[in-house]
Amino acid sequence: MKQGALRIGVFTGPLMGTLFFIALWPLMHIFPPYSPTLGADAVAEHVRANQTGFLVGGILLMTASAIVWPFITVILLFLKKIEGEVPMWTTVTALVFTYGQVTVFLCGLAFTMAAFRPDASVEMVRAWSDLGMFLLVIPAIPGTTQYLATGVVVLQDRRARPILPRWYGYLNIWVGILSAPGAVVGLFKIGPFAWNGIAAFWIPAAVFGVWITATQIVLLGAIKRNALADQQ
Amino acid sequence: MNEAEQAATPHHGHIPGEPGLWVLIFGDLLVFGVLFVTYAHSFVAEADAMRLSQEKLGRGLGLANTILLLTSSWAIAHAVNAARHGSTKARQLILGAIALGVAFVGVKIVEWGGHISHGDTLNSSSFFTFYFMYTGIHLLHVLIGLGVLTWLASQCDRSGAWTGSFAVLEGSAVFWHLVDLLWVMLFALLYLLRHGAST
Repeated sequence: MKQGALRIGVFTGPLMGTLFFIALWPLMHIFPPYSPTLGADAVAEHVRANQTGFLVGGILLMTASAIVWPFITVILLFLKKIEGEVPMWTTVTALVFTYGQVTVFLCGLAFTMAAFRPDASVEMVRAWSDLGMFLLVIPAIPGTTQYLATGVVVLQDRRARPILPRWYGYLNIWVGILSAPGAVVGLFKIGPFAWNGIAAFWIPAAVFGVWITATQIVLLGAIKRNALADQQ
Repeated sequence: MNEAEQAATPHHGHIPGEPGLWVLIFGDLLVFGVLFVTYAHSFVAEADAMRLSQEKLGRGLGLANTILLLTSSWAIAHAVNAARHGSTKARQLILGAIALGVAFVGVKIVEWGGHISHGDTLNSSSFFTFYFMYTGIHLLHVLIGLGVLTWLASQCDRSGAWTGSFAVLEGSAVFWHLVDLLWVMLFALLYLLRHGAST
C-alpha cells in the first residue's frame, strides 16, 4: 500500500489550516473578526491600511482551498472502504466537500476584490469585505451536511475492528450540530449569533479545530495499521 | 428493574451505549454550558430589557413540553428494559416515545407561531434571539433524535421485540435522555429563572 502517499495527503490538512490562519490573522487582521456594526469608513480604512495583507491573504485563502484535496481524498478513501460497493454517504461527503471548498476560494476572491482598488468608494469596499466575512462563516451550512454524512458512514461500519474508530463518527455528528449556528449570521449584527459572536463564530471555529486535529490523528492511525488493506 | 435483578446483573464498569458516544454527549454538554453562560451574562448585563421580553413567555406551553419530553424519555428507558428482557413491548414503547417527541415539536411550533404573530421574532430583542436560537438548536437535537428513534422502531421484529444490537438501543436512549436534560435546563433558564429586580 502507498502509505507514504497517504501520509503526505494527511499533511495537506494542517497545511491548509496554517495558510488559512496566516491569511486571517497576521495578514488581514480579521481574526478575531471585526464587528458587523463597524461603519463603512472604518472598514475601508482597515482594508486600506492592510492592503497588501488582504491581497496576499486572498491568495493564501484561494491556495488553501486548492491545496487541501489530498487530505480530503484520504478521508474519502477510508470512508469508501467502510461503505463498500454502494458508497452513498461517501459520495455525499465528497460532493459537499467540493462545494465547501469553492466557498473558501470565493472568500479569498471577495477579500481580494475589497482591497484591489484603494480608490473605490468606502461602501463598495465594505460590501466586498462583508461578502468575504459571510463566505468565511456561512459555509457552516454545507459543513453540517458533510459532517453528519461522514458520521453516518463511520457509525455504519460493522467490522469487529472498525476502519475508523466509532468515537470519530460521534465526533463528526457533534461538529455538524455545532457548526449549524453559523447559518444565521445574516440576521444579526450584535450578540452571540453575529459573525463575531460566540455561537456563530467561536464555537464553530473551535469545533473545526478539534475536527481537523482529530481527523489527522485518526487517519494516521488507520494508515499505520494499513486499514485500507483490511480483509475483515 | 427491582433490586434483586439489579444485584443479579453485573453492571460494574458498564458504559451505557458505547464509549465513543460519550464524545458527543459530553461535547454537547460542554458547548451548551458555554451557551448557558453567554445567556446568563446577558441576563445580568441587560437585566431590564431581558425581563420585559421574558415576561411575554407563557410558562404553560414550556411546562407542557417538559412533561412531554420527560414522559418520552421514560418510555424509551422502558423500551431498553423491555429489550433487555426480550419483551415484545419494545416497539410499542419506542413508538410511544416517538409520538411524544412529535407532540413536543407540535407544541414548539404553536408556541413559536404565537410569538411571531405578536411581532416577537428572531432579532426583535436580545431575549427573543436567545429564546429562538437556543430552542432552535435544541429542536435540531429533537429532530435528529426522532430520526434515530424511527430507525430504532424499524429494528424490531413483527411481534414487536427488539432484534438489533443492544448497545445501539442503549446508546440511542442515552442521546434521547441528553435531549431531555438539555430541555429541562433550557426550561429552567428561559422560562423559570426571573431576575431578582422583578417586583
